[in-house]
Amino acid sequence: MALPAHVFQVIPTVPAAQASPLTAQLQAQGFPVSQVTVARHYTVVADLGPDQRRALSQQLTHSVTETCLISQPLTSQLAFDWVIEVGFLPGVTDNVAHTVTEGLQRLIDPTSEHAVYSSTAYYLQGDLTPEQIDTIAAQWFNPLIQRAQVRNRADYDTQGGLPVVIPQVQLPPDRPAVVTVDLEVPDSELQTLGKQGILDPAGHRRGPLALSLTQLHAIRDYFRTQGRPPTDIELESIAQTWSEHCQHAIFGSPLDDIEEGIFKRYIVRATTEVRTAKGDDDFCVSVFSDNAGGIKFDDTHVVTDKCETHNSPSALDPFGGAITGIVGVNRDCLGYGLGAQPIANRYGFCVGHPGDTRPLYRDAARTTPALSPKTILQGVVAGVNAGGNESGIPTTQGFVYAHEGYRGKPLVFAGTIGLIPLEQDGINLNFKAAQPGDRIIMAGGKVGLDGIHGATFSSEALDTGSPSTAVQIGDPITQKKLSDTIIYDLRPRGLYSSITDNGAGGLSCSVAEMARECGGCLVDIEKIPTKYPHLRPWEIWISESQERMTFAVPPQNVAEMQALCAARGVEMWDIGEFTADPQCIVRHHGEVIYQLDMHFLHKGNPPLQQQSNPWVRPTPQTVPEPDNLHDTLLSCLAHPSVGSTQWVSEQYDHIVGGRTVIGPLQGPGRVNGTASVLKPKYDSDRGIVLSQGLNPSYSDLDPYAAALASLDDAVAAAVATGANVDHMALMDNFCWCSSTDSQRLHQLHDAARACYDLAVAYGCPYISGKDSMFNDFRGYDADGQETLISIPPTLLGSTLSVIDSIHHVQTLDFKPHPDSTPDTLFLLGTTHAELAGSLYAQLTGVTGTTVPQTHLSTALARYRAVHRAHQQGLLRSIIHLDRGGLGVALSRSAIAGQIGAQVDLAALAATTGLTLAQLLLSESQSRFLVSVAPDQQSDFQSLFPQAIAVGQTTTDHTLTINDQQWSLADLTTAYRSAFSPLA
Amino acid sequence: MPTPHALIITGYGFNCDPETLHAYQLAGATAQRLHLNQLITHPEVLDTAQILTFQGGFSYGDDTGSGRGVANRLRQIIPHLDQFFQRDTLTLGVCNGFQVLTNLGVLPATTTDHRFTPQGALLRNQSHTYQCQWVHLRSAPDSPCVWTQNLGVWSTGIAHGEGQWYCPDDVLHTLQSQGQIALQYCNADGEVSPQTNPNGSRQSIAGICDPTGRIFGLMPHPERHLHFTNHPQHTARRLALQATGQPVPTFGEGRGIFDNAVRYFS
Repeated sequence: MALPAHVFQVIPTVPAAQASPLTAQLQAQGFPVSQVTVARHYTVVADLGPDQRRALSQQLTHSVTETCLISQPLTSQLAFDWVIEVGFLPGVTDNVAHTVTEGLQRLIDPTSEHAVYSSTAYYLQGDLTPEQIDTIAAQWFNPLIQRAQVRNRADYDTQGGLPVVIPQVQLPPDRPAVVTVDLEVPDSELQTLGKQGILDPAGHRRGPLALSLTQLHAIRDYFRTQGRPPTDIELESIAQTWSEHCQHAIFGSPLDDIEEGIFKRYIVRATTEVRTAKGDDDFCVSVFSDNAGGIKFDDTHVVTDKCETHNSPSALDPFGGAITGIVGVNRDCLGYGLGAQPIANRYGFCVGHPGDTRPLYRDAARTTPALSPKTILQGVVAGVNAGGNESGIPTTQGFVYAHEGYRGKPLVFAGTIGLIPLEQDGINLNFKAAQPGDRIIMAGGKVGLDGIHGATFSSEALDTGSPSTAVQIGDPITQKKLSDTIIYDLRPRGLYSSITDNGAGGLSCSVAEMARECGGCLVDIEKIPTKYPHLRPWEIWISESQERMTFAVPPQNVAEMQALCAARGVEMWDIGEFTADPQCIVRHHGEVIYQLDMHFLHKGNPPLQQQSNPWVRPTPQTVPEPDNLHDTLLSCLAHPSVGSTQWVSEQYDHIVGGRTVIGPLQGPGRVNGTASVLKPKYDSDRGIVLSQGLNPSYSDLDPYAAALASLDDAVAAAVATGANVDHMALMDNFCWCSSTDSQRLHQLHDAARACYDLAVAYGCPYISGKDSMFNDFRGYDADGQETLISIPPTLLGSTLSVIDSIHHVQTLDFKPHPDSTPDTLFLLGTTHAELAGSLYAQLTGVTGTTVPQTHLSTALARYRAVHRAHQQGLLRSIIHLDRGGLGVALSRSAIAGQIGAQVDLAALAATTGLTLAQLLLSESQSRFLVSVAPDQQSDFQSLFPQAIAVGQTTTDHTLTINDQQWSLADLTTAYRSAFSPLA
Repeated sequence: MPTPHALIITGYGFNCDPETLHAYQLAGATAQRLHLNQLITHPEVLDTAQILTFQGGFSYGDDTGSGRGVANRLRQIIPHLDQFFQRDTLTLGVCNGFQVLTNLGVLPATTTDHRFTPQGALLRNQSHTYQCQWVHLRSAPDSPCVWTQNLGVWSTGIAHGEGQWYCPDDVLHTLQSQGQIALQYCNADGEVSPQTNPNGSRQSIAGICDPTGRIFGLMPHPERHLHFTNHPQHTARRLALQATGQPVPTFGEGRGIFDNAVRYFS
């Protein structure tokens, strides 16, 4: 018999609690709405008596500000004309329901059948037409993961309220658990298999395996030696393991005459050479081999770093994509060594211009619109907000970068820095190895259809009865419980010999990866808990359900680990055993359904045959001089790649942990910096500096110079803040486009070469990196014309460096002087006429010819001198010149300090032969603007004999450059206008 | 009186325990992380503690309302909590911990009879966004609050989405007359005005104590300003101090809260 459903409707009763920003938002859009009131609904399917109903309603309701109605329509509690109720589709992670369930289980027999679903009801007052209410509803739910129902007041009253919706997942119970796949078929059929997936017995294709014909031939050859066809779980699993996402074949395979591939040739070789050259000063602890990279922090601790991208999911569901990105990279930190504690997050969002409203469609019929840049930006900002804030990890740094190449597909970067002791009880915590006989423990959450085949799983499956598999939503609290338990309970007791994150490919990748440490593995798939019944083994094995870590636990420790996890509200399951036999085996109720040689699984992927061709140089162009330099500077400040992201920084907790020394905003004028500083240990003055740099707008003009500039910007930003280039590690995140295209490959090769050159010149090793190779949008424009929008090839450089003392860091704001003595402003570094691809060039629409070149050896000498100046306390402010050049840098320092400056560039113009506009707008690399107190000038100039005095700070609120003047108020307004009205 | 022992309740999304532990240790207390489940199953641990702390974070993800999930669970051990509060002990709720104590009715508890009956709420910020920023705070000189004694005007960070203090008028009047409004948002000169109110709280309330002054909850995070370098403008402050020949302090202004607690037992 079906259980009754009780709908608990929690309604705010006092005006302060009823107020909603949605009212003003709808009014701003011109809708005749006087009030929107938001109520929470909980649909509880369980056998509940009156006392239990009352007790649950008390749990859910704040008696001072709310009231609860159970399964009866609202009458006089709220005045409303329309109601929109938004809930999740079946199978979508419902974190609120999860919390309510825990409370419910204290009131009922927890083994009895029960389920909870949360939804949100919006009660609107206003004379709206049905068309208007549909338009409003469409703004408030994402049909990929949510459903909505709308009622006017009359229908609501006559129908007795809203119909009850129970989004229970219902899978057919009678599907065969395992099927075999015949590979002895013509190549055309193999190609269909690779592109569209295995033909399900129900008659449809299961979604792309993304296996090439060459790969399928290799798989067929392997199974010929086994004398049997593969099972579906084997083939799906190989497809995951061999995917570009997991194996990075483009970076790893031969390219032209580079037999070892460009990853080994340029990235790995750079690190090896740097480490060798540093000798005893080598600070690397773990590079490339683990979930994150690690460098020495002090004699007892290591700091770790990792940056991931989550681009495709964020294009579809920006919130879900970004939250999953950030909590996912947190797990990479937890999966470093035997578990590093996350201490800081960073992010980067590359999006189309937020004001760009040109529509794009995924289909020729123009029925499935792509999300607008503004919607994507709002969603990804909110995703990192939820993921970072709820995890209690400070987000000290990040950026927004706007370029029209990202309007089809955004890039979402998420990084996490961790702290871990070097040793514990004589055991090196930075290495791990599963041992034969260890139990395979999965902890965190259960498995559902989340993320199977990622975003490629077609939307036709998303009807009312089927779960939404395309998008995952993170659950930061479940993960926080797991994270605390690892760091405070399990790791200190040495209960496990290895740990890794369940990310892409789920268990199929995590277990098989760990099995390499000991030999092989044997899994009993029915022991893996599922969120709902009738999942098939292949689905369980490759599911990307979130918040899970996999452990290798010696059998004698399992009971203790189980008890600790239970005490902390963390779920864990023993699902199998690591073995010495080099086989990966999965059983289903005792029957072997998957048996692969470990060597074939991990090394059997045939290398790609890659040929590159020189890319076509754009026609030379000259960037024109601006007509109006005054307005040009204001436009630069108002560009979303430069302008204030205070509205993002302040909705991210950047001070939790009490470790933040320099956060995202600097000076009383709250200007975003490009580097941040943390003090990882409360009892030590040592610090770490984090920074990021990217210059995708140079890429199509000169990918080598673009890559150098990106990495150099990251290094220089860190150095400006106080970092020591001699104790600095790098990370590379390549986001490329159309990467099978021979010219794109050539650009990739050029960029990789730059990575090597810079790392070796600066003595900065790469410790970790990631690549994402197909960031292209294929769809249709407003006229139904087929459109390809490729991102500009993007290399994000990140640095992690260690400093001896946080007392020697400096910020970018001009500082007030107590007796009003002005500070002298010096420019460090040489300015060339390098305007191509610059922010200014983007404003003109003319790309130009010469992008900034990086002069590595002079830059390095300057970086070391800046570090000495910091240590001697000679700099009262310092800013690294990047996007927008000197003009933007002067403005940012002035806005940050709310202090004016008087600048004279006439002499510099005469000696360099550059125009004032070129001096102010060129983005030449490795330059700084510093302010120096009068009594420290001689010390400063002996360190920097070539420093160029360009002016001084003033006590009035004006920036004067030659004969041009800007009021601080105008500069500040422009700087803060970049995201209006989002901000 | 020996060194006081502080318990810091952890788990379920609380996330400020490392810095809160550090704060008590700096102040001279012994401090211990204690998981919420352990407190619920072994509430007798309260018998040997002098200070109970509900720290900041996102317990239960703020689902169904911030602080409510933990408050619901604490209702299972009300007799033990009541006994603890009646002893000469101190209790602190920071941010999410303040939300827990408010949901549980431990604050403001204008009379002992009201303890465990909610009288106020921490609503969504008036801006409707999560706000992380630095604020100035004014400690009421005439409040019985043990925690804010002699702190004057000081600064630290806030980071919350639901920090708007709400209570009905009659409760607000009682809070005023009993000196329970221990902490208000203000400007650098200590002036309280709507311009310095970051979340729309009634009366710019940042922190509330119970009538005894021993139980205190606040939205700002004093444990995030334990060191001089935590201040977002510490580079300018350092230069200004150096220029006038003044020493640069080692510690930050949030430490006073914890020093007061330890001093109470000396």
